[in-house]
Amino acid sequence: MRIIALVKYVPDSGDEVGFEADLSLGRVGPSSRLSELDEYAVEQALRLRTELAGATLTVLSVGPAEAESALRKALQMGADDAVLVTDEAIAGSDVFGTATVLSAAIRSLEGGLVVAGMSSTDAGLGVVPALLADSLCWPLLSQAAAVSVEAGLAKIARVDETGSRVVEAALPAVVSVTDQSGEPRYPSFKDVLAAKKKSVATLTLADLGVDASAVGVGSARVEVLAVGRNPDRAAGRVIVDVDGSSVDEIVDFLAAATK
Amino acid sequence: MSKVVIIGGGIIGATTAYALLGKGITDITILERDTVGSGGTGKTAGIIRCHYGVTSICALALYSLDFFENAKELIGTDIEFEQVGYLVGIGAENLEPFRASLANQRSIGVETEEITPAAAKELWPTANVDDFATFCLEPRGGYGDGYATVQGLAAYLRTQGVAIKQGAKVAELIAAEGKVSGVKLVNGEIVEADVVVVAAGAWSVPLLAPLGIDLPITPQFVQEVVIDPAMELGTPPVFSDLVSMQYVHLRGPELLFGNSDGSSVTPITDPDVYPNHASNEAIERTAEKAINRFPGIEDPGVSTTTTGQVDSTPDNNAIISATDISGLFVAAGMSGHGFKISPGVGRLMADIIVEGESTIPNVKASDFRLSRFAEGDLLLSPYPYVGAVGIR
Repeated sequence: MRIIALVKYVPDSGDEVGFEADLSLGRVGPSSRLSELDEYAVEQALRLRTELAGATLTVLSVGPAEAESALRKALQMGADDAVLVTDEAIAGSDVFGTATVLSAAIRSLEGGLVVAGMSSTDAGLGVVPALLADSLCWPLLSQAAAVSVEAGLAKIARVDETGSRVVEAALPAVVSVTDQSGEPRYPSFKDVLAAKKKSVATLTLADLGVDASAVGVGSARVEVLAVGRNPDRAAGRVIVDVDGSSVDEIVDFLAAATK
Repeated sequence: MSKVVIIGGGIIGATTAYALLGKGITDITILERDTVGSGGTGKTAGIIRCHYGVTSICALALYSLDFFENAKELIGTDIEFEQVGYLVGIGAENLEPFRASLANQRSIGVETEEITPAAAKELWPTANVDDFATFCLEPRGGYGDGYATVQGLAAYLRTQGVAIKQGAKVAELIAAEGKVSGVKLVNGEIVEADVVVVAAGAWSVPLLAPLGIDLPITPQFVQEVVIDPAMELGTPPVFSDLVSMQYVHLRGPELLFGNSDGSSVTPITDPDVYPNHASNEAIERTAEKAINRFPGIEDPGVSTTTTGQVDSTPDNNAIISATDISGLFVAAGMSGHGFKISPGVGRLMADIIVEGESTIPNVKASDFRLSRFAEGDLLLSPYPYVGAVGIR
């Protein structure tokens, strides 16, 4: 079985946020990287690959050419191969467009289990796994704190503020894992050197048989009208106390602020 | 009495203030744009050694060793100097400059001795030493902690009345008729001074440019990889491997690997904009070199990576100098080897300000003058090593 882990190339949280001319979020910052939340997906996929006889792990990304570095990082962690879907026409896609491209790629790669992170660290919507499951007509096991696969069944534990529940579904399925699922491994030098010999395959929309009009900024159901900075915070007011005078001033201030 | 402003709360600014105090100058203000040690100092690998071909730099390092060894008594703080020794291994192509450099180092008092590959192997049992012609061991070397050192210094300086203003970003230097009179902060505040020392690394360049002073400093992006050896390594010396061109030392239970062939050092335009993690390629290069050099470490893995920028000059040596503007001095351009000589750099800067010349044995102040670049009289080692960056 081919396990497919989805990874996204994102700006680092420390990078200044940038926007493209079409107001989409800039993806290539000085510290752009494999999304940290996706490292959890790679980790769980690697573990399942080791546990399941005959399984292989492909990491898949949709993004600009620079996204290859995120896939290379996943290869260094130990993935078997990597596929980047990159095409000018994809730029500006919303989550629906992204899910369309991913589902076509997953069908083309004949994946049997998809492992995704809980959300991206840039846009942070967290809906791609659900849209993808819908598009593939596969069951979705989302927000897994633990995942296992046995006898054609994927089983997850989902932990939230109400408690923990165990959910299972027959493969093929889409699983999204949280940052509680287990710390991503550090690459061993042996895996790093093995990864150097591997190549990242690139696919275009044409390779996947996806009509360019179905994706991209033109078909996006979300339109970004404007982006702007939050206004700078105004300087605070310093109240100087003269023999207890500050008490009344502070009370007056609070009364005015809560009116 | 002179009123001194030092721009830059890194190790160079701090050691300069420390040395000025030693000369009885007490009206000192350090202006730091962020927090103490937040620039290059907080990111240094922290290697401490005297292995230099240039006599003046070797002597600065030797002077500095006394500070590192005695910091507890001098400033009252443990600066976490791990005196594990400093080991250099070279190939046959570097035998001649290596022995000449060692002789020169010993002539000014550096303790360093040539040792055989077999003896080096005893210090680093996990290493393959077959491709080295010879080694030297400097027992007083090791590695320190740049951040701990500058924090310790800052705490001491405060007790001596030095004002350290953090979050105080300088907008411009104020000078007229060839004389400096202070600095203006970005918030508009003016700090008056008779003497201004610019010790702000690569950030020094835009401060001096409006005064017509061109500092030939280029920020260079540097990447280091920290590995988890997954085994106990004891306390081996810092290892400068001039065959594979890498340096290695312990950091806690982990090993820090840096590349010294210059291939992973790339110029950048803005010293504040560079990746916060090493590239996949840098990790691959480290993995290849590490696995070849340390076959005894069975299953090393990447623990984390660190990045930073160094303020490099054309000859990879520091600028410690007066300028054409009276009262204005520069201590910058450390080129990635400032920490190990920093107490000496601070002392030399203070010497230049107060005496106009060096008072450190075997150190010539003129070696570090800014004008050497325009004059084409670069500060280069007489014993250069084949294939290595010229910082030895």
